[in-house]
Amino acid sequence: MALIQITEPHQWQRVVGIDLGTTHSLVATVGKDGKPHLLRDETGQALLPSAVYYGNEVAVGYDALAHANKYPTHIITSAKRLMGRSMEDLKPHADLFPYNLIADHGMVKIETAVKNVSPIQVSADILRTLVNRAQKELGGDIEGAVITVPAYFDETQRQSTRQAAEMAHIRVMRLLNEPTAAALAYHLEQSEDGLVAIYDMGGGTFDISILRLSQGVFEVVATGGDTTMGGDDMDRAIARWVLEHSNQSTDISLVARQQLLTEIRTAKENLSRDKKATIKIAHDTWVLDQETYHHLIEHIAERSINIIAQVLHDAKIQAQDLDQMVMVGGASRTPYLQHVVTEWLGRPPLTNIDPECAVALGAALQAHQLGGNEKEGHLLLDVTPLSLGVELMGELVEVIIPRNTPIPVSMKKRFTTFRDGQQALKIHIVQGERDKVSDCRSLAHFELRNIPPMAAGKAQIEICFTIDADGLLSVSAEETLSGQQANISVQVTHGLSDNAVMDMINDSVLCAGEDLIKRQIAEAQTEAKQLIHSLHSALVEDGDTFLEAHEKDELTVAIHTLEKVIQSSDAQEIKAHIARVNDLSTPFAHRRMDQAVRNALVGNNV
Amino acid sequence: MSIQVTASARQQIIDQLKKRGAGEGIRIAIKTAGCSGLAYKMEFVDAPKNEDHIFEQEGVKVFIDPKSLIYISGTEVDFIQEGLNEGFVFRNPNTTAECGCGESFFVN
Repeated sequence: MALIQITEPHQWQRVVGIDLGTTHSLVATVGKDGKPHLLRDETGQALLPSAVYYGNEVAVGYDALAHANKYPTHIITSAKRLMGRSMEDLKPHADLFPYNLIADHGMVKIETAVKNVSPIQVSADILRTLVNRAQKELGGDIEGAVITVPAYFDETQRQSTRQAAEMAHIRVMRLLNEPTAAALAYHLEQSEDGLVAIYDMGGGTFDISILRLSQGVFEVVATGGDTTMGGDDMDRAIARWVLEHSNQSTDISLVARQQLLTEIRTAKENLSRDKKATIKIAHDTWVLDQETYHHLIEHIAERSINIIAQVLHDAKIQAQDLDQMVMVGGASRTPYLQHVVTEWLGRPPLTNIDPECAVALGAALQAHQLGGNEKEGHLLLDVTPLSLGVELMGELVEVIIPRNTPIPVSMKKRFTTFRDGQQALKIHIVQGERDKVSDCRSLAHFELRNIPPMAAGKAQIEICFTIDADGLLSVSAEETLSGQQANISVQVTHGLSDNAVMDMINDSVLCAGEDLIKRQIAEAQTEAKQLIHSLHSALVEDGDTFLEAHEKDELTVAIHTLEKVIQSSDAQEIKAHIARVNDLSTPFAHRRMDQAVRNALVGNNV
Repeated sequence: MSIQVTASARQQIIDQLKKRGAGEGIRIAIKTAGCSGLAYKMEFVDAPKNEDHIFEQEGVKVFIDPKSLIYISGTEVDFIQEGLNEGFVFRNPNTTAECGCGESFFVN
């Protein structure tokens, strides 16, 4: 029985929830009344533009935007899109960022007139500003924060977000998926059991999550989305329209591009109420009416609906099975988007909490609970967006943690050595849904060394994948007979390229048949190689002792034929030859075995 | 609806409150923790809550919130020494099972 000590009563913890958004960021906390509220700056603003100015001083938010007209190239916006990404990932969109990017150790840096900054640094400056605001408002140091990330953020992107928080000296209590935070904001854990879809159209990301509620506990059953679609794309669609209707070439200066985006954002807000809005640049004026505006953003609305349909299909859920749908994210305020979703769903989605704030409020509730300010918590389950596994012989993927597994999770599988006396094992960690390694994404390599020499197949290597509550992966390998260990925390060199996650999932379905054939061939090839290898060494050792000359010849010929057909792309043919070699070598194996048993018995008598 | 505090537990609570120099008494509560199920919690009380049930025994006040009371009513609180360790133990008639580490328990 456990011995219990008297402890000090729980102190109220100053903890916050942070929505680190692409275009805007927010910070919220839960008050003594148990209700979450946004924390505002001195001027009463809750929204902090995710913009940082690097000049003689560093300015964040509206203070950064104040420099927009004078020093547009010193201001970094939408840095979240660059988090954990490489130059290669971003190439198709590089011209759309109103600043220059340079490659830096597999990631990117942003060129400003003063210095080159990493997206992590930019995020850290935004986080620091939000936490300073919270400290002023709450009258003391912030003990921890829950920071939200898109459900689709991969390992690198989550790691980068965590690094940004560390840089800003913030204790991260948890990285929380944005749609999950949105569900918490609506207290959906208290509603009746059922399925809920969270539609989150932010500035730069679109996420859709399907949550299953069961007795106050909810689990994310499926996630999908597009890491590069959001309100920014609406701005760009309008920008293109403006440029097409102007005499200027599309190759306008960075200054003009910044000014244009500012004008467009105002026009967009006006179009939520008015039939028309005007956009003014220098001496030119354009009038954008609602109909044209809707036409310009139609493809974004449609794509979002397509993604929902796909995620539902993936999770084997019918649209009519959804009990509730929630729209969050700044761009979800767009009346046209709400209209399109209502049409598709057949009834209006939940939008009564300001879509812009819902994620931050949900994060605050989660921080409140993790900080122990709330007595009873609800269990929060997130899932892995893609399967994680290791490479096997023959370039095949062995999945260790399947896609959509609730996290945190730890799973193990046993492996062994391929060759006699093999002393090291290279472990290649991959992420994706395909059977062949080359079709998946490589996350990391590491080696398990100093395995004592043993016969092939004797070593017992346990590979354990652990994903913590933040979705960060660590992998360990242990040879259990000798106790040799090796491990790695995955810090990937670059992120997934645009839409790659969706594409990878789609490919796995489209290519399932092709993958099966590839897998069968690779498996047969591996089996054949292993058989040939073991027979070669056995024949050299005792071929003449246990085999008649004609038996040995016959077996050698069969092995030789197998060696030839091994490169064939017909798995059946390879298998047929393996069977033939197996048949011919069975008596040889028996005789060797008998001898080994006799030797063992003799040894015992002595 | 009651709770028993043994003489040794009572003396220990009095000593600890004296050492701390402040406090109305102690709170006994249950929390969801341990390997699984529920676990006990004891803490000093500076500000009692309105809904608390108060059990007073020979100068020691024990505060229990109504929700926790359902699970621990009838429990005897004792203070024991086990080898080099000492601490409070709960003998709870409502318990139907305990987890291996002994930290958490189940009730029906």
